[in-house]
Amino acid sequence: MLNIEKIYKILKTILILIPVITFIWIIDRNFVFSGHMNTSYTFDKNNPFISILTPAGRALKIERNDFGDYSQKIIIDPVYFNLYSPTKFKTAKFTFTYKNPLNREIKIGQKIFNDDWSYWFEDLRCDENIGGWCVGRVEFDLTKASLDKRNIKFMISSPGLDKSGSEIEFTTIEVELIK
Amino acid sequence: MFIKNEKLNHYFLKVINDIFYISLITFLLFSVIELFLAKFITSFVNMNILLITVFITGIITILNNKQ
Repeated sequence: MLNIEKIYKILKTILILIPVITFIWIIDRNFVFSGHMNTSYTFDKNNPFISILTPAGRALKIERNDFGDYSQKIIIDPVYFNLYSPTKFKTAKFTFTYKNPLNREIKIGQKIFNDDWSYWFEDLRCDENIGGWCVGRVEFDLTKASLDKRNIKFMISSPGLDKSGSEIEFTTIEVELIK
Repeated sequence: MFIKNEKLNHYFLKVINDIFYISLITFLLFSVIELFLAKFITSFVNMNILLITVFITGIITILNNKQ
């Protein structure tokens, strides 16, 4: 039978190992040794990698619908979000889940130079429809991206959205980052 | 304390004391890293949980040392 001193020593070793293992895990997550990383922003709580859509006024407050899904609507284009990149990646594969009632043209832009106007655009198209939500995918070459404190700025644009009186509602932004 | 057995009570307080020192050192270390490399730690770990652990175990440790 184990005596209490032995149990205490085992417990102490475990207590010391917890922060050590956590720190190793943090290093692995920051340098992404596996080569790829996934994150998903569902607008319900802050995501450390994907920011909310800004500026306020063009993008409305985050709302919760009757089904418990959170979403953010945009009424004036363009709006922006930041992607935090803990290390250097080659490719970002985005999956947007959104509602676009008037099937308006939507473009996603990645900031490529350190001025405010240089963006590389990709068209966002409704690849599939799941429960009334469009799912669209776009891919970006991050080697061209402009980094500001490890953040990459993205733009969501739908020219003439304000004049159309329509709105575009986003419920999920997923990204797969590949080294 | 909840544990009546004196020996068990003694070890229980020793464990709380260890948790306090380990979580305090971890918190300070993580804070210094975060200061120089923003988001390095907080992107993955909730420092508030660590801080609450430091506070609770710290209060128990201080009260125990006073007795």
